[in-house]
Order: sequence, then C-alpha cells, then structure tokens
Amino acid sequence: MNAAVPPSPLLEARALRVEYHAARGLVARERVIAVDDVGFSLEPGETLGLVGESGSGKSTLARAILRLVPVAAGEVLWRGEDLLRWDRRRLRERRRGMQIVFQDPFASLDPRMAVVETLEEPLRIFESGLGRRERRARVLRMLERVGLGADAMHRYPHEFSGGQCQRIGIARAMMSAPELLVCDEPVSALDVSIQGQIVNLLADLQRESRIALLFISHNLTVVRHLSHRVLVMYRGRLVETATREALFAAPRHPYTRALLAAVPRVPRPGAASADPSRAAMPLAPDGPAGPVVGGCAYRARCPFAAAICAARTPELEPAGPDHAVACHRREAQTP
Amino acid sequence: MSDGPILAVERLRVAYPGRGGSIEAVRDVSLSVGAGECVGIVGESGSGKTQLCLALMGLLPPGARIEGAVRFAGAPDGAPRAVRGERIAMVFQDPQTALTPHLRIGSQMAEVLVHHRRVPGSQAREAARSMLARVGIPDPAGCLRRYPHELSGGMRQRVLIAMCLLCAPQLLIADEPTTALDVTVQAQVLELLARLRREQRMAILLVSHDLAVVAGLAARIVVMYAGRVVEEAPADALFRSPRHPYTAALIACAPNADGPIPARMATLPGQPPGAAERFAGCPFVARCDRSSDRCRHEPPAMVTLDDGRRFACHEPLPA
Repeated sequence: MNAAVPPSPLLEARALRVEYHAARGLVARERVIAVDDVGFSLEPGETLGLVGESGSGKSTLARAILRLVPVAAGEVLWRGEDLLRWDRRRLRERRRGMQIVFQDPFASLDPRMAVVETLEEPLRIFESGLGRRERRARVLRMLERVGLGADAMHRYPHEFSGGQCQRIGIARAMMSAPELLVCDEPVSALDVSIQGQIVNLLADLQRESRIALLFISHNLTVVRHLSHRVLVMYRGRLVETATREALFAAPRHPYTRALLAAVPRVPRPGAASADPSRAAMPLAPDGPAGPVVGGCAYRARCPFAAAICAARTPELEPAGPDHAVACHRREAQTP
Repeated sequence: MSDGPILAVERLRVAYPGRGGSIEAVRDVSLSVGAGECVGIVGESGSGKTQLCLALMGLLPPGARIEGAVRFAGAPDGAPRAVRGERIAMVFQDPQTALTPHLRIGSQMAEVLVHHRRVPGSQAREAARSMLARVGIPDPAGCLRRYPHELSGGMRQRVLIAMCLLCAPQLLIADEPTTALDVTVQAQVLELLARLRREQRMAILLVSHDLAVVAGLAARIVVMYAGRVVEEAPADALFRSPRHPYTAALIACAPNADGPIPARMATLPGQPPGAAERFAGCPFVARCDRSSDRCRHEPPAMVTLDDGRRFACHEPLPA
C-alpha cells in the first residue's frame, strides 16, 4: 500500500470558465457565462457522471475539456499537462486519447459512409502506417466488441436502428484506443428498452480497457447505474459532488433532491409507490437561461431560499467523506 | 364512466404500399377511451403508436391505406378533419417543430379560435392569454408577444398544450409529450395533464416508449409491439402481474431510481422489428425468453379476461 502517493488523475479541471457572447438584438452582445468556476478530477478507469438540465452547461463543459470550444479561464490538466496550452500539432496527436460519443446516433454518423469507412477513418488519421488488411481486422474486432457482426461492415447508417447506430458511434470513438471517452447524453435519444444495452456495453468496454468515462445525462437513474462519482451542475456551476452511493442515499442540495424526485418511477412490487418528496418540486419558472448575477442561481426555485442566498454565491464545501455541496441552507433542510 | 367511450377504435389497420407487398404499420388495433379517462399506449420505436395517433387525427399521408373504424362520440364516422381538430387535439413530441417559427405565440394561438370558432381576434387573444395562465406560464401577456425560439422547451410544450385546450377538446392525444424535455420539466408537464384531466374531465391518450412516464397518469395501459396490441390491462394490474412476456420485459428494464443498484442493467435483447418485417407466428418470438415452437408458426390470438384484461400470447406469464 502506498497510500501516501495519491494516484495522479488522468484529467483534472481547475476553476474552468467558458463564456459565450450571445447576440442580443442586432448589435448588442451579451456575455453569457456557460461554465463558471468548475473543478473536478477523473482517474483512469473511473466513470464520472455529470448531471444537469438543458442549459446547465454540462455539454459545454465536456466540449471545453476536449478543446472543442474556447475556454475563458482555468486549467485542464491531462496527465498533469495543461492541454489548453498545447499547440495544434500536439492537440491533434493527443486527441487520439480522448474521444466523444454524441446524443443523436443518426446525426453523428456520415450517412454516405459505410460502417467500415467510418470505423477506418480514425485509424487512417492516428495510425497511418497500418496496412489495409490490418485496418479491416481491427474494424472487425471492434464491431464484435460492440455487439455488431461482420455483416454490419458494408452497410450504411440508415439501415440500422437507433441503438445499433449508437453502437457504431461508440465503436468509432473506441477505434483509436482512447483513455477517456466523453459520452454526451448517449442514451437519451433511445427507447428505454435499448438504453440498458448501451449502458452495459459502456461498462463492459470500461472493464476490458480501463477507459475513463465522463458520462453526461439529464437523467439521474441512468447515471446511477454507471457512475463511480457524480457531479450535479446547475446554471454553469457545480452544486453537488459525491460518490454515487452518497449522492443517491443522501442528496444534500435541494436541486439534486428535486431532480431525483422528478424521475418518473415504474411501480414495482414491494417498492413504495407514492413518493412524498415529489411535491417538493415547485411548478416554478424554468425560465430564461440567462446569467444570474450574484447569489445562488437556484434560489428562484428553491423552497429553502433565504436572504443570504441572494447576497452570496455558495461555494462547494465538504458535506461528508467525498461529498461536497454548494448551499447556504443545507442545514435548514430536514433530510 | 357509464356514458360509453368517447373514442372507440375497431380493428384499425394502416398500411403503405411498398416494394414486395404492403408495409403494415398498424394491424388490427382495437381500443377505447372513456370520457375523462387517461389511457396509456406504450411501445418501442416502430411499434406503430405514432401511426395510430395520426390515423385518429386524420393526419396520415395520402399513400396510407386505412381499414377499420374510428368512432368519436358525437361525430359521424369519417368526420372531416376540422371536427377532429376541434374536439380531438394532439400534442407532438417536439415542441420546437410543432410551432411556426416566424409567428408570435399570440398570433398562432388566436388563429386556432378564429379558424375553428370564428371568434374575433381580440377576444381570441384574451382567451389565449388566460389559457397560458392556466397551464402555468408565469407572464402570459408577455409570452403572447414572443416567438417560439425565445421560449425554453418546457415553455413551448406548455404553449402547445394551451393551444390544444383553446377549443376545450374532449380528447387530448399526447404523443411522447415529454420525451424532448428535462426530467423536472417532464414532471411539471405530466402534473399539468393530470390536473386538466381531473378538472375538465378531458380524456387523454398518453403515448410513450417509457412505461414510467405513463405509469403515474394512465388508469389503463395498452402495450403495442410490431403494430399490434399485445396486452391491455388496468395500470395497477399490469405492473403487479404482467401476462405478456414483452410487458414483463419492459417493466424489468425500466431503470430504478431507488433501491439496490444491480451490477448490470436489465435489458431487452435484440431490436424492435422493422415495419416491413413479416411474421409467421408471434412478432416477439425472437426476443422472448418463453417462446415455444408454436410461437414461431402460429400467430397468438387475443385472449380477453373478465376483469378487462387482454393479451395475445401462447405462453403467458401466470396470473
């Protein structure tokens, strides 16, 4: 046991900030802070769930750490190196290690490319020395890993169902043997009956390859099945971070609790049918996604809001082992 | 609910001509909805649920061949579309594409009343404003002046529901009304539908791929697979003891929000069949863990029980 030396994270974000300049009328520009002061770390082989509503900044955060959108401030360390300082050549080289799977399985595949071409493309870019035969062999192995057969090779995206297209999207991302796979709502567009197949596939790939996953979703139940730790984001800021067990057993932020309560449930024998906390989510404005200046952004919807919530922006503070919450009123809530 | 069904569908078939024979999107579907009742329709993509809804609304494309009967209480069979638009209204999945992007919310909403009821414009706008307030939009007068892109997804869906309600329909068909929305907004929209059903005795046909969405609202649930009804039961009975293996599988693979976390998510293996696929026997046989030889060759007939349950399966689960 070398407990004195903590394992170095694969990826670490520090005080990350992303801004957009949104058009406001014809001339005026409004600065929108999409991600504000976000920090987290991800170990090799770990799954980090990132949960929030649309407009919470979760997709922007994912794109920022992959340098797909510009970062206004902060650092993103990849194995200790600030990737925001990489030049184009290095970035291109290292992208091999970090791949992304998108929400819409149809839109993210080129309709004119047969599956084999889509899967060979990463090899042509990152391993240009490979011969045709070896490329084909790798494509075939990957198709089998993601549960599609050799007969998928020469077919086109429109011939597949949504779930199968998502398998192809995952296979493409896995072709360059990445160490990090960012999954941006990978199951949200799929039937519930198919979601489990994709979640299990990601879990299998992770076990076989020790790949780290950043799994983004607006749905806590799916995140719960896959994540080791979970980040909850609201209006660009982290409001709660915890291990999966702590978050689901004892969520501390009123927003996390509202999210959990809002999940529709299938009645099961033996399970409590009515959830009293469901009424806790007020039919409040889900309103404009614009910036909230100062104070807690959740206060307009929060049943526990007090004067301090408008006065000061709450910071993440420890709320237990490996559990942090950004809420002035966490003592006011009866668990 | 003794005053008979408000909607009765009998042996409805929807087919499209295709290469190598017709493609049957809806096969022999019968169902009914009582006044003020919420009936859920659950099935995967391609199960025919949307085709069924469009058939009810008279919105199928010209190439569609329709057989069977759709009876709506108070309207003659095969009533013109205008009657259906007024008495039956439909909410679609995507609140973005269902609104006209270049018209303000107020104009779009007022048009509904001007068209169906010949109400003067100013009166129609006032009706629209009060309806927006009823569906929980915080600044209704302001909302009337906005364009669709200025509203969030949840707001847009509420606007669409308000628009449907302007003519006080007796039946609201909601096809995946919350699938494009966040869970918190979904909960609000479902709550709104529940309230409207209670307060106005408006019947709702709630369609979703997600059993959990339907579970909280529907008194009765119809499960569809490959264009057919495979099971129907009162909601509590369906969840307590599903008889069709497909229903049981759908219940099993709904993700758990509470309780112990299994090492793997329960799944339904395989893919739902395509509309062009043909079956000698039961369409679910390839994905079923109870199938017998008979299931491969003989289509299962619908069995109707005394308690209002019915299912089509040779090897049903025990009651």
